[in-house]
Amino acid sequence: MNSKEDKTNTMQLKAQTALEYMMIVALTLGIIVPTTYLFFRYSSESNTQLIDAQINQIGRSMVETAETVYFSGDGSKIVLELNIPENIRDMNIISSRELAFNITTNIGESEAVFFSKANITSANCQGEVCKLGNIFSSGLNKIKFQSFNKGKQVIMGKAE
Amino acid sequence: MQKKFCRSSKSQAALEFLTTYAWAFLVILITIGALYYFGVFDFAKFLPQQCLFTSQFTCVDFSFVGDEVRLNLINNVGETVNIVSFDITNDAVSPLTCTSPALTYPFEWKRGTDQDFVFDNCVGGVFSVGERTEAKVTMTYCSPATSGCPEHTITGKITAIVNE
Repeated sequence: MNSKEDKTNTMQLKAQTALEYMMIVALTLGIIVPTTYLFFRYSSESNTQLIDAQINQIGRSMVETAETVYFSGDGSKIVLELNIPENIRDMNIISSRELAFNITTNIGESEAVFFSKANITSANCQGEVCKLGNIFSSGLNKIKFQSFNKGKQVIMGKAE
Repeated sequence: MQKKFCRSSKSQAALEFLTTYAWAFLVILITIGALYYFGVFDFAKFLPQQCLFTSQFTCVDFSFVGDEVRLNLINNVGETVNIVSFDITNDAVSPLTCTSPALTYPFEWKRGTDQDFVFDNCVGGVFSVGERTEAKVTMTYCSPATSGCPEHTITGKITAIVNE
């Protein structure tokens, strides 16, 4: 009889332990799952803003460098070191004054356009569009800005 | 005879245990279902309401009111631009559709100025009062200073609760 009571007591203790264990696991999961979800949503949104700031900085520095070379006159050259994010799919010069980046973010496809006072071009032009896709890839790039056509234009190319 | 009685008692206990367990399981499922129905597991509501646009067209203010989407943007491009079109949608099964802002297209937007845009008659895309909704705004613009005024597209996202 005593042994049966002992057994029941042990079983009850085990059941209580199991229940407490399950409650702790449930509580932990209840905290971890929403926190992880909120963390990933927050980080993806701040990532979009970060990429936008990075692209803005790249675009502005490219236009400023082109203008510096243009107004410095014939023979001037500057090599710019840029860290291109992988969200930039393509880069074009339109009508010799618009530097356009094609971007992919988690919002969708978008364009970032920077307007230059200098007449800018590249070695790969078709009509009004000059392609810059061949001079950059994601990561660290060296882009050369050189005065061209007797100082009337600035040509962008890959620095050797 | 005693062995048979003992066996029957054990099976009854097992059946009762299973029945109780099933009931408990059912109660838990109904409770979870009710909590889900009332949006307890909708963790997205803890995220802030926001308007994400490129810094070239900074989003200053936004709201979802009634059947309208209102936003205020600043032209930070550094040039006067012409807005060619303005569209809104979202990823819902029946996507959000609204009437584009009542502007005369192409709409001239001076550099450095802010502009209010109102999409009205919004339907679909879970756009109902009290709901947290996402809207993707697509704007096409061009610079009249550039020959041929080549068009460019920007995309922005607004996440907000629809107010009355």
